[in-house]
Amino acid sequence: MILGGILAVVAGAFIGLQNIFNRHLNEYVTGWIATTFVLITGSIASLLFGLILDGMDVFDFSGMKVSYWFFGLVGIGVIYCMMQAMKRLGPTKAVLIGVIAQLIFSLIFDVTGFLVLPQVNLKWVDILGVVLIIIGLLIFNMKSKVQTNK
Amino acid sequence: MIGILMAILTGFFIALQSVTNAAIGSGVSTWTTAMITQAVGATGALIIYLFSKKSHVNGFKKVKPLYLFGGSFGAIVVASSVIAVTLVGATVAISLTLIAQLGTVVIIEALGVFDVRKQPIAGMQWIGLTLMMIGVVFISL
Repeated sequence: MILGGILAVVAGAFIGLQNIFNRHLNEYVTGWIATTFVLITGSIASLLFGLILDGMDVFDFSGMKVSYWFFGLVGIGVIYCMMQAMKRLGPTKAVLIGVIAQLIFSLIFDVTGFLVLPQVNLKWVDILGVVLIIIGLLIFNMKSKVQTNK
Repeated sequence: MIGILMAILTGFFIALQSVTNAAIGSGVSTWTTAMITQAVGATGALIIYLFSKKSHVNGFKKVKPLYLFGGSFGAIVVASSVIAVTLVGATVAISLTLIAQLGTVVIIEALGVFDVRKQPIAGMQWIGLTLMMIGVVFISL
């Protein structure tokens, strides 16, 4: 439980760092070629970590089901929809709606025990928790809104 | 309307991605998962790029070399997320990831490092992050 929490925080910290780095990348390189580059370098880095820590086991694909190979394309759905949403709504609104949807769908996935997730029963505190996170996010965003209006 | 639908779909796909990555991780090792899922994504993005209006590629030379390493963080992001989702479930993992992400950007802005304009952490940001953390505690009960 604690390890899972810590690793979720690690993932978030690196996404935040990646956002900042990619912001600088996007000053000069944008669109699908930027996405391709970011994902290729991520894949190569994973290969290197795997080689160093697991050795040749990183090439052990025996546990891969056919459908698993296509799961990587979900990321394409993320990028395409995000580009479209940002173009139409602007970044602040797009991200806000996206995050709210993300929380609600993750709760649905947990409650339905989707794919490999252990099925959990929906409790009132879960809904309360998600609502609190959404309110927190709205308050968090108030600051950036004031700033962009200046 | 299409914009809102697209934003909702973005959230759907991000949540879906954390579960599909965890599913791959149940079959192969964590690093293999991160390698495959990003290689497949890159292939898809490259195909779309080849069929779309080309943006200029020579921009890469103008990017400060340090910032070309943003993508490589994806290895740690996917690997950590696979284990986190498997251990604590999608909602808690995604919530904590989101808070850590916002917190990291706020700290980087407060320090003014990585060529980001220095700006102190606003009161609203403290309150927002605190409320979000209380929210995660409720979900993990």
